Parts: sequence; C-alpha cells; structure tokens
Amino acid sequence: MKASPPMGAPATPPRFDLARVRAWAVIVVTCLAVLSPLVPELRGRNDDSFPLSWFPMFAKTRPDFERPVYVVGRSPDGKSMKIDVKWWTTGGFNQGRNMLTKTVAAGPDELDYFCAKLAKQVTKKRGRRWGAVEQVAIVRGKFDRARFFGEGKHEPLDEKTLYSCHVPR
Amino acid sequence: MSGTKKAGGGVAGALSGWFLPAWPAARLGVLRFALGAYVLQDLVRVRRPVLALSGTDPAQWDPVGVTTWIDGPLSADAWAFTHDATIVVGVLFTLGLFWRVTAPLFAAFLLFVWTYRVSWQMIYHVHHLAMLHVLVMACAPAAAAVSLDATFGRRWRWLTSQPGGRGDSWHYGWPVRLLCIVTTLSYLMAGIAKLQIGGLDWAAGSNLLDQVAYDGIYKHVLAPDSEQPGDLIGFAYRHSWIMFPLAMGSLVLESLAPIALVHRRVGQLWSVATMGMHWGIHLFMNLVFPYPISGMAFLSFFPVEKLVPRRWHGESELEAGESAA
Repeated sequence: MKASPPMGAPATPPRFDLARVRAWAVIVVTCLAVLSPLVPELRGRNDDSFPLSWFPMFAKTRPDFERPVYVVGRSPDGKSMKIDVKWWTTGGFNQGRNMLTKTVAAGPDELDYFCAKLAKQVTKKRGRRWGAVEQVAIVRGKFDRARFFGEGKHEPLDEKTLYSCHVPR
Repeated sequence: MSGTKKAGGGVAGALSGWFLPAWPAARLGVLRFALGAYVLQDLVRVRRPVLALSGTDPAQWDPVGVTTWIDGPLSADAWAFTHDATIVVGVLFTLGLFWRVTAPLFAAFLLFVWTYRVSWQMIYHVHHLAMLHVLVMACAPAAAAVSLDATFGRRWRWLTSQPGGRGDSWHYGWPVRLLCIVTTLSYLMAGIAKLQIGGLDWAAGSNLLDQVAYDGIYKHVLAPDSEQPGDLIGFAYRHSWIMFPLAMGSLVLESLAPIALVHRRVGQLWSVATMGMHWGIHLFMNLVFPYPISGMAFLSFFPVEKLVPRRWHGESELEAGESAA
C-alpha cells in the first residue's frame, strides 16, 4: 500500500492507487454501517446498539399517564422519602431506572435481594431524616404530566407498593 | 467545503473530487487532537463511577455490540486495566505518536470500553457519534501534522503516519469529509426515527412535550438528589405553542442534515443551529450531550487548521513540487 503522498505529486489522486481504493472502501463501508439500523433486523438484539443506532429517543408516543417504578423509604409517621438511583447504580438515572424495572420483572427473589440491599444502606445513613426510616418500598406511581408540570402538583395520583422490606436496626 | 479540487472530468471525477478533496494535513491533525482530548477528558472525568460498574449485580448485565462476544462482565481488575489502558493509548492517539499502532489500538480499546459502559440495561446515546469519529480517524493518516510523529517520527517511519507529506492532499481530505458525512447521517437517522414512529405529527410538538415531561417525572421520582427536571418544562406546559417551532426546528435540522454537505457555509450554519438545538434540549430536559453541545462534534465543518501556527501545517504539495523543481 502506498503509505504517503509523495512530495511534488499532484493533489488529486492518480487513477489506480491502493491508498485510494482503501479510502473509498472506508467511505462506503462507514456510510453503509451508519445507515444499517434503518433495517430493523440489523438494529441489534435490544432494537438498538453501540456504536450504531437509529436514535429512537424522543420519538415514541407516550401513554396518557406515566407509571414509573421507584423506591421510597418510609417512616412510622407516614412520611416517605424517595431513594436516589445512585444507591444502586453508578451508571446514571436511565440505567438505574431500567435496572429497577428489570428487577421488578424478575420476581420476588430478585426484589427481596434488591430491597434488602437498600435497607442495609439506610442503616448506614446518618441524620434524623434517614434514622426514622423503618421500611424500604418499591412502588409504582401514576402521574399526569400536565398536572405535574402545568399545575405543579408533584404527588402521584396513585401509588401502589410492589414490594417492601424492613430496615434492620 | 473549501479547497475542493476536482480529479479529472465527468461524474467519476466530480465524485472523486468531492469525496476525496485536497485539504491540509493540519486540519485532520487538529481534529485528531481535539477528538482525542475530548475522549480523554470523558474517560478521566467519569473514571471512578465507571470503574464502580464492576460492583453492579451481574444479573443486570445486558451486552450489546462487541460485548456480546464475551461471556459476562469482566472482573474488577480486568475492567480497571482495560479502562486505564484505554486512557494511556488515548494519550498517544491524542498526541499522534506511533500512529499506525496506537490509532487502531485506541479505537479497539475505546470501542470495548464505551460498549461495556452501555451494557447494563441502558444504551445511552452520548458517545455514538464520537465513537464513529474515532473509528474513521483510526483508518486515516491523522498524525501527519500537529503530532509527535510529524515532529520526531522520522526514525520510526513504519510506526508513524506519513511524516513526509503534510500539505494539502486528498489523503487528508477524505477523512475530514467522512467525519462530516457521518455526523450528518447520524442526525438524519434520528430524523427518520421520529418520522417513522411519530409521522409528520411529531412536528406539532405535543409528542416532544410529552417526552420532555416524561423525562422530568422520572428524574423527580428516581433521582431526587442527583438529577433535576428541566426548569422550562412548566413554562412549556403553560405556553404549549412554543413546542411547535422547537419540534419543527429539530425535525428540519435532523431530517435535512445532509444538506450541510452541499456547501461549506451551509455546513457551518447547520453546525451552529444543531449545537443550539442541543442547548435547547439541555435547557428543557437538563440533558447534556457533551460532544455536540460543546461543538466538538461539528469541528470537521470548520477550517480548524487556522487554530494552530502555520509552521505546524507543513509544506503544501505545490510548494514541495516547486522546491523540488
């Protein structure tokens, strides 16, 4: 392969040049690869992949209500505090969200392990706020987007406990 | 883009002249340095939380791309070694030292590391474009100028990247053109996804508002300490008309992204507008895509060689020819 353009050579490529063929090959292969997720079968097993993607974020239609699964710590006086995804992942909130969803889908054994792990972390937290927490609960809330942001009412319309465990004190 | 020279006549010549323009080695060199520096700061900045991935429940392992080739998560030591080796090779990539070896090595390491990071139940779309740019760069003679190879590499020619010719040449033009093409195609893909899923109705803006609010609610309940919903979501609900121009603008910028390739100025205008779109996303969703929001993703649309001293550019082939004559 011709490694470098020789000094004094014209700036345009000669007709047959292996380096030129290589450049064309990289151009064609790269463009086809970037466009390949247009074919659903080539999107990868999760309907998305890395580093090739069809960038489906922000495109899908949302249901009427949002029903996120999240984790709360509850104290005997009925107060509850939301537990941040940072407690179970260092990979960001979207990753934490999907991990939690997968744990819920996996069933009681996985939930028990997950809940116990968070309950143990509560005991290590200092301060009155966390000291009063007696129970960790994995819940599913129901939220109306317009109510939440338009009216500023942040409490859920409904909240269902999927699993709970006691904090070992 | 400027500096394009046609090779021969006819369609083939015009295509060749467009895809393989004679551009300066210094432009590719500056782009290599900027891309390498961007990747390095990312690897170093998030090193601690990323290494902590090894403490994640293995049941959450969900491989994609190249990580489907391994049996399961790496041990903590293996992951730390791989990550830190990527940083070391990344320094060599950025400085352009022993390019023929370090460029493909860095591309391979980075591909694994960034894929590993998104192999835990969530494919973030933060690094896709930067990764593609690194892969393109690794196939190109990107250390022929503004690099240690160009300065000290004459003794180890087999390891270095064309330290002999540093002027304007198609050898240095095609990778820059390809970076621009990959950038626009990536945005085109995002535009097609919106049209495929939401149709033209997506441009009305209500779907975008729903997406923004959905993200905000999830942040509120799942990340009360580490993330905040965007400040402008409430405003958008009270003045929902604002979503139509925003959605329409986004759809136009994405779906018509390849138009940025028709002329240098159009490309620069599109780059600035698309960067603005990402700033808008940041304001509404508190969501940062660092590569485009910093402008790094669009540097290939600009004559960035002007940022470095002329003596780093090397002599042009024309000048070399004249001096040889």
